[in-house]
Amino acid sequence: MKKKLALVLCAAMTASCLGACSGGNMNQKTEDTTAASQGQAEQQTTAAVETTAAPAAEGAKEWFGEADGKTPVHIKVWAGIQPEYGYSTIIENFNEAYKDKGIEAEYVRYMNNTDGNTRIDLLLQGGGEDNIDVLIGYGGSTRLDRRVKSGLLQDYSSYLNEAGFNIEESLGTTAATEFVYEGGAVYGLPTTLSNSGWMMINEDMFKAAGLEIPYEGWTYTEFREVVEKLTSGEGQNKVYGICWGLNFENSHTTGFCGDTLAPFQTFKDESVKETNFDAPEWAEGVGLIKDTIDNGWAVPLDEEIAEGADTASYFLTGKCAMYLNNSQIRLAMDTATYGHTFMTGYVPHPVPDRYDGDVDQMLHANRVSQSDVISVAATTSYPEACAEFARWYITGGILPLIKGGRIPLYSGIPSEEVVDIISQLAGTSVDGQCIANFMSVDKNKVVARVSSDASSEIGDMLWNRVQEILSGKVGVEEGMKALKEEADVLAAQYAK
Amino acid sequence: MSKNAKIAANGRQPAPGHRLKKLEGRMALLFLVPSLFGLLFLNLIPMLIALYTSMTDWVYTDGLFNWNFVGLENFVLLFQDDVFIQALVNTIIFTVVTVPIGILVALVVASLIDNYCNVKVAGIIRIALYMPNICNIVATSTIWRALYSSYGPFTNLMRALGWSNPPRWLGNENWALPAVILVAMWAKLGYNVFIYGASMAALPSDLYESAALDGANKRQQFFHLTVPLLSATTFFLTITGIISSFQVFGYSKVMTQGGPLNATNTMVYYIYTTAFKYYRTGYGSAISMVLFLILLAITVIQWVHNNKQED
Repeated sequence: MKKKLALVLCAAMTASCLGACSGGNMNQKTEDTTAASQGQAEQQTTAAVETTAAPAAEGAKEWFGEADGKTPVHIKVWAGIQPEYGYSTIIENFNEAYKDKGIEAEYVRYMNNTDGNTRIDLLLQGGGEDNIDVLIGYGGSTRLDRRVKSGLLQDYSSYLNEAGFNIEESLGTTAATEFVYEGGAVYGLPTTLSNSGWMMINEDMFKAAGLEIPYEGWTYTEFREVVEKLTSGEGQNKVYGICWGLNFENSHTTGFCGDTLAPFQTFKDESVKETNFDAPEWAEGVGLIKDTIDNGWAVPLDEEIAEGADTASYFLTGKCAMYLNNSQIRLAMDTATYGHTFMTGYVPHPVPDRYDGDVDQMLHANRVSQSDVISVAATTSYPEACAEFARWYITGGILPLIKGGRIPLYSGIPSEEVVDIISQLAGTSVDGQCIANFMSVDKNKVVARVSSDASSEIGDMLWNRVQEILSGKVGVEEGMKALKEEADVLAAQYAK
Repeated sequence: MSKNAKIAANGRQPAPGHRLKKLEGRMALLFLVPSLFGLLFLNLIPMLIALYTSMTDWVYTDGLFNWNFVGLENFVLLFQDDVFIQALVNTIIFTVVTVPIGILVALVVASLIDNYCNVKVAGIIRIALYMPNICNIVATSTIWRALYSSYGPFTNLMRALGWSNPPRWLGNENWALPAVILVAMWAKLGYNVFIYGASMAALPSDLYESAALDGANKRQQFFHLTVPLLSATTFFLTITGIISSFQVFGYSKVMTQGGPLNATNTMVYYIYTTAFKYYRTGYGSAISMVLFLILLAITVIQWVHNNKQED
């Protein structure tokens, strides 16, 4: 009896131990945090985007499914945007277009942060039930390079060549140089024109203050005057001229200071051995932020951090007249979830005064970039189906994502069509002229920043020094000098 | 060798007691197998891999064995790394503040409950105090972020208490760590009170009766009886508190992301950042080895202390 009992206990312990080992249920998809907006967003877009599904490729294979000619293959598409902001429609459109071609797609959302990307890196290595077939990644070519070096992605250039997809014609020369690897290998292609070089402004506040909208760009001096005029009130009722978005994504705001250095924002040259923080643009940019905070025209650094200031909590609630970080068209268009009645405009970041009149710098060309890189996982069992999804997505399948504020990069989609869709979606919540301005960018002038494996760590060094400067611990010149010294040591270490 | 041959070789049959002991030994081993399995594959082997990778330039996305041996380079770099030094100092401050104060407060609270509450009320208070300890750390941290907001309840309480211009706790370099420490102590209080409560219940009542007969008041009983009698519990809470404080991660991750200006960056948070954000897994392993050595030293102290007490 004792023996039997011992065996039962032992079995129970083993089972519980094994159960604990497999405890983390990796199958759970990320819950959407903006479910409330779904109904409203759906209504807004029915007319605009659901009719714009890209057709299957001419000349593409007729069947991608299993060899029996009947069973479709199932691919999982991973991206970092809530499905209601476009991906559910994209997947629906794709499944409809490819129902006779043997591909079924499923969307899985991941969080685009360190945790989420770590999970993606691990899943890309492992495959299995939670496999990734198609990945839409963020962070430009820096993160892509790391994944390519680790052999996590598949070269799908041969499929694109067979399908007659010309990268340079379709996505511009920058994409063709930045995203095509040695020997013509393609591990990922950008799909959107990033609007990160533009900022959000409350046009109603501009009009009330008698200020003109700087559609064609502006200088630091002009910007400074406007920020001052837009600041009003005191205490809890204070309206700041600007919220820099230092808390939301510090790399974006700190990056703004070196925007005009174009490819050499961080590094002096392609060798990536030395950083460019001694360029005067850096000190000028950081100085501008500090000046606006010290004068009480911008949300203070400690308030931004303590309150978690972001687009929704500060800009859309009218606590500030301008917001610099990641101009989120998606939120401005969603008046139901983020209740606001004013019109949002998008204008280029201001530039140092010496660039006054330089259209490339003033308007956007030196600060527009590409994002949302679509890749095929090395572990996928269906490389052709995945590559076909990528091609379909780039060449028009992406359109419903405009609802998520994503602007397609593909040159085959007329800019007017995108502007029309945004205008229909946004109503009076977004200034259409700003979008038309933004869409007028020459995609061949998109800037590819020189980066290295050290970029992320150098970005944190920059953020720490900027915090020291803004909190008054060190002066601007002194802080930037110290940054240059420490970042150069790290850059040299990595360059070895 | 057959059973008979064994007997012949030994010249005698094994005693029945010996057989039973052997059987018990096997049975014990059988019970231990699941734990040993876990210990081997989830602790010892990963620890050995971490030890080795701390001497490599490994990037975790490259997969196992794709690494270059760099000797002690990571450890040399570690002590030239200002952020690591700050994370180490922050962790030590966190531990030095949370453990003694947390234990002292818990001892006083447990004693008050034990002396002044009836059984039902004591149970309710203990459960209420214990709740934060079982709540999800992300949830509690998020709530505290709201409490610490400029116009949140905690800040307003400070204003009501006469602090006219309280700082922005989590946004201020000097106040962020104390703010995080307060949350950690609050969350841990219930556990410490629970352990102290259980130990107090087991204290011999005759000692207190004798002390009362000898004229000792409540304060004297507390300092001359309760505190010394609870020394083993206090030691246990101290050691486990130190170990868990050195491993603090969640509060920094959720409330401050290690900021502002690395003011709340801790060793484990820095391991996470270097290994997964900067893709320097080898370097992150080196930090984890330093942490391991610190915790090992603490554990040895506990072991030596326990052995002394047993003697």
